[in-house]
Amino acid sequence: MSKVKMEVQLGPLRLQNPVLVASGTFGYGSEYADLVDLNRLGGIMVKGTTLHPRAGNPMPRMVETAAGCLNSIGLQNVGVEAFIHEKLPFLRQYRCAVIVNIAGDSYEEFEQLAERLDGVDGVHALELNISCPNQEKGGIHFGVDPEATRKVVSRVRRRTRLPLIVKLSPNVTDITVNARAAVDGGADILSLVNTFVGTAIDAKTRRFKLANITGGLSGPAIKPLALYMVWQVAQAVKVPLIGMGGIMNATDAVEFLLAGASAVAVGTANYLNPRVSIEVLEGIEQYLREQGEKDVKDIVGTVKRCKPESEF
Amino acid sequence: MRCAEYCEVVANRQVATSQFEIQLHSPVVARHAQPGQFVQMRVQSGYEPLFGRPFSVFRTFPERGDFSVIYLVRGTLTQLLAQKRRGDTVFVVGPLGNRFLVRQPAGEVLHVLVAGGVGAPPLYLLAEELVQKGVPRQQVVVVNGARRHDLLVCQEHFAELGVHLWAVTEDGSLGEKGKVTDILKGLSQRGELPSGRCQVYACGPSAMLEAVAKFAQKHDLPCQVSMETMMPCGLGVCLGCAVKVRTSNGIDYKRACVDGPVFDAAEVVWA
Repeated sequence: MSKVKMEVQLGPLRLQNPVLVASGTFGYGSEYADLVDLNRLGGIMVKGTTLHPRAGNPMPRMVETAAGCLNSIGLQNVGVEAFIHEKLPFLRQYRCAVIVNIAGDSYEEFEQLAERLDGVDGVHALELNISCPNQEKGGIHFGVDPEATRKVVSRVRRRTRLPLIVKLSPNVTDITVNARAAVDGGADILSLVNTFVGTAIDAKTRRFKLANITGGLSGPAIKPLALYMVWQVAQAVKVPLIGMGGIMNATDAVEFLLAGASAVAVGTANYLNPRVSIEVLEGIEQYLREQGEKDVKDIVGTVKRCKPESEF
Repeated sequence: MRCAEYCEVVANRQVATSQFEIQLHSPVVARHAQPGQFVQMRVQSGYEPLFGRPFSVFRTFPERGDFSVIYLVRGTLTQLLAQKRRGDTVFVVGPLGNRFLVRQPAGEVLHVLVAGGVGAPPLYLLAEELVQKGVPRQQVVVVNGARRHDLLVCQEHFAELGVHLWAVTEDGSLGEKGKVTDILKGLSQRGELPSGRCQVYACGPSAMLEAVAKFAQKHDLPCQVSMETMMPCGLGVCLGCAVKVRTSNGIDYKRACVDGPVFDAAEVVWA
């Protein structure tokens, strides 16, 4: 079997392959370690981490919708200190990249998080979570207002030497505006998309299904929306992209690569099949062999227009 | 040891109104499942439903590598499950979660197992284990309740174990008329639930769990409850199955899938 080159270079971040697991869908890696060979993953984007531990939102926090799921977890996490001391030592044993998703309510909190994680052994990149839809204050504000995006990214940029990924919110009028703002602020890489804000109502009880009323929609339902946004952003900026949003299998992942993502993240699919990330990785390799490709980076952004009618 | 794989259906038979027992081939689950633990089972038509659902392990057959669960046909997943025939497959992740804790020495404890409807299966596995480990049968009390006789499950299995068995239905169509807590009250009034020597285990609808927990608290009985919530991942990462608990630092959320499903009833904050 011919060998396909899977290693990718995303600006300053090298990944052994382009398959990541999305923040919030893979815990801190240890939860899946007996079922998934973590050494085979391109990287793990760990659960959104805040300065202090958070208990999260009241229940119910999650509800299934047609081909998707709404969540309003509310960034329940152990906090950055416990992450460094209790979670990171486990992850250091593996050769996959560890990307820490950080979330703050203020510029200062983002700065403190970036500073705290800078130079910490075993952290390979930061993913700036300016797009969590489930926080009362802060959070998504930084992802919606382009000037706030630029400012938070540039302030974090000055506090860390780590590769800086900015995770974009899809809950905007024109995502390319926010993408450019993040790049202006100094983002090395963009990841997109976070979840779409939505809600669900129980007609029988006449009540909202989520305690928080709204939640973030993920899963296969959002894939066409996410795919389009990745393609749009790929036209608008020069930095590498990590594509995500409803990837359920290798074909979905390949579509994101063709649309212009240099790497992909598998999210919600991890919940229904813990081994899906490895299946996606193997499926991309198989696709590349079948297509006669030798290097995964050669297909990034190569999608062409639909065949003209005359060629049918 | 856990698995995440497609498992072959060995049998799938109706055991009560809208309730089925499905036997699946999974040597890992059959060998490692403990009383109170569950498996995530996923059956889909397209992407519906998207996630698997948790089902408590009912019986294990380690020698032939099979296990079974009892499910109530209620939504899309269980409807699809009811259509499965021998030789079909179901995606299974498990065994997952913690188990009922048995106080030692088990032979000196009165074990009171309180089941509501389709909550009975994991308590059957516990009763079987207690009997196999040599706990005298009269020290295993099972209070098996349901709304109606045709919704009561595992009754004949409990009977086969020869444990001290009560059946109770809300309409009186089988066994005593009333609720499981009525039986508990009766036992208590007759002095048959000595607080220092008793352990209560409960699994069933949340209103029943709350009532049993309050009864146990009032009578100073240690009580473990198996909580059921929406459980998208079953592995502790999605945080969608949070159970509100009291800790030394105040209120916190624990995950039903890995910190539970079995909780000390005293720490649960009831809605």
